[in-house]
Amino acid sequence: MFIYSLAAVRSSWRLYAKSFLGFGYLTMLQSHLTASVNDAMKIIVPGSAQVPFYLDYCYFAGYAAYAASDKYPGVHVRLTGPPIPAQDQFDRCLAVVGPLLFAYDNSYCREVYGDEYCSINGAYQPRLTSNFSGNSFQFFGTSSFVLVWKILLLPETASLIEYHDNAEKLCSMTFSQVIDYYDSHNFFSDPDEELSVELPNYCYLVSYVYLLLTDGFRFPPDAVITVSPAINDRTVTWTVGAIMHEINEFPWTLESTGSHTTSLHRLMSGSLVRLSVAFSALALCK
Amino acid sequence: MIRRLLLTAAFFCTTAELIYAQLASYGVILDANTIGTQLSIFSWKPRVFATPFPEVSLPTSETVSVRITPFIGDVCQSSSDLSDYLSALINLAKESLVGVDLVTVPIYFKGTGQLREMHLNESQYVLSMVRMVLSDATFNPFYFESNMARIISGEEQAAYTWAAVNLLRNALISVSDMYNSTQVVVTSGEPLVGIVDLTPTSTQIAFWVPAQV
Repeated sequence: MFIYSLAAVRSSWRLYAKSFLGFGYLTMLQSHLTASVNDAMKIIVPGSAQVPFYLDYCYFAGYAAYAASDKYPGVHVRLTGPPIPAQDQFDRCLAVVGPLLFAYDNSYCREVYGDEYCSINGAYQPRLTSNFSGNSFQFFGTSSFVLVWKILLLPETASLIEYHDNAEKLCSMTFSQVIDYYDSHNFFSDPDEELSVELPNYCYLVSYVYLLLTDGFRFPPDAVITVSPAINDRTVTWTVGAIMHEINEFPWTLESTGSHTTSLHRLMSGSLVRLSVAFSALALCK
Repeated sequence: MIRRLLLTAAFFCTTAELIYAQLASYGVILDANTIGTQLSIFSWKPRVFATPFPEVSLPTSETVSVRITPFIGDVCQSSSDLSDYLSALINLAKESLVGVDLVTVPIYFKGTGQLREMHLNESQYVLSMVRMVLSDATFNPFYFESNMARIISGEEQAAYTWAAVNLLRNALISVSDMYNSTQVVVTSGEPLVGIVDLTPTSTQIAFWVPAQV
């Protein structure tokens, strides 16, 4: 729980804020690939000349790549998508990624708080709310959610039902269809290089994010989320919130008639900005 | 003698107030993330108020936002490597603030996910190098103290993102949550929204909650 406060306690908001390190889309992709390699190696006869391979439903039909794991130095496992797309490939990919998201046992959290109050990694999470109406909520997705929304060609505000439908269609394409599809949407000329780099991992990416939102953060299946890189033409980044916090920790002056300032005050004791020279001068003034 | 002391004090007083007035104009943030380091320059109105309880000061604009690659942890073999890496951003910030007394402009270095994920010894090494380089006034003309370079927690990042989104939606300041009271006052503006954030190395969630739960 977090109290976000500006200008001492004149404006403060009680927030639930939680971060999960290692649950980013690239770190989870690496975990997924490592798990696939480890699974493949379990069925390989030691000393065999066979190139190990593994059927990965998070890869598109017709796509294959090599992956390695620290557990088996020097070994490269060929991970392949199915020969033809499975009708339920999105669900199959969800089934592969799910255990990674819930690698940490939530049982203690469930025991203490109840299942509906547990997110991922054994963490407590209160019921989702966002505004003072109490029961309703609106959520905004930032950073790489923009990438996922682009991949699924979703409107800025979309429901998880639309998300699910588009993700199902995407994962059921062959790799060559995926290339043609995104070429027709000019993805390869998009300045966001990640769109091209992550192309083979699109099915994994949309599956992981769907699981994260629904099973992880407990969004209901019909929840609506807005995702945009900018709001009112200004880029959305945490640094805006950070500088706002810093600014309101700064000293301030009191205006008076006829002169610019009459006194100088320092706000909170935890200010990160310390201008000792200026303060010394002020001490002389007062 | 007393007159001389008073004159000296008055001189320092004016200088100090000028510093404060200028300080509350621009600020620089270096966001060290997985992909690279992002420079953002913000501006805001000077913090001079008519009433004893100051209003909330808001960043009114973000004048520059540029990112360099790679991840800062990959370029910290020596202080000269790090200086070379950061010099592009520092020079750009200087060029963007021509005419401003740079020593009054605070510069913050805030590391996120990838730095949090590194081994503690390694991340502390990066941080110490950054502090050393930014403390060199011949390299960095901006106002800097060592505690202005930090690796922020994921929860801070989540709360800052929440604040940024709601500020930009004009939802933040119009709403007052008296957290020691059961009364909540909504004056105007957009409703607050929660945020979900996803980066290559971490994910964040933040939302307003109605009561201690």
